Amino acid sequence: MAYITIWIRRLLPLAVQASPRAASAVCGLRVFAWPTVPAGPYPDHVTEMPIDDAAGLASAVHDAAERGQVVYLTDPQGRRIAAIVPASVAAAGTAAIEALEDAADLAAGEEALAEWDADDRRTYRLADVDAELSES
Amino acid sequence: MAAYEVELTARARKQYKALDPVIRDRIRRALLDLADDPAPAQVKALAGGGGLLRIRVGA
Repeated sequence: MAYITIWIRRLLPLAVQASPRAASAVCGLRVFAWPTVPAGPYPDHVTEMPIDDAAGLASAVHDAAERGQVVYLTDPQGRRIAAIVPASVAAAGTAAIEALEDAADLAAGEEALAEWDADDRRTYRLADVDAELSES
Repeated sequence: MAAYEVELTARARKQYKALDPVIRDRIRRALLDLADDPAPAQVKALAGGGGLLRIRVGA
């Protein structure tokens, strides 16, 4: 799974622009792919079950909700591909991932802006770039 | 007429041109939307980012 981050910095605030198109926004792109989770070993309180074990899923959900059990679901090759976790763990994990992504995006944006400064703040109009692509 | 002119840095231009055409089209549409509204609801201001905003386009 991957997505592309577009970071934006407005070059002039709307309040001070002389005309609507006098303002511009410089944009950068960053491709992000989810990191793969390394294989075990895992703590004792973590269990595994095949992802197609329908009968066991309900039990795993109850274990997660009532006992804080983490249950990894495995594919036919035994690889952990998903997990059933308590909602609190999911929320904490999501928050941690978002914080890491924010930090990575910020670092990438600042690096790109520094590079842009070093490049005498040269920019390319999106319409011009699209025209170059249509000609090639 | 769009409120903003969208401009790309040299690095972004290079990355944009190297994208798969289908993905690039999705990015183009997102960028053109930004020209009308550079801070739509799904944009997030990065903490400590000094005005840096982020929007994501699934790929």
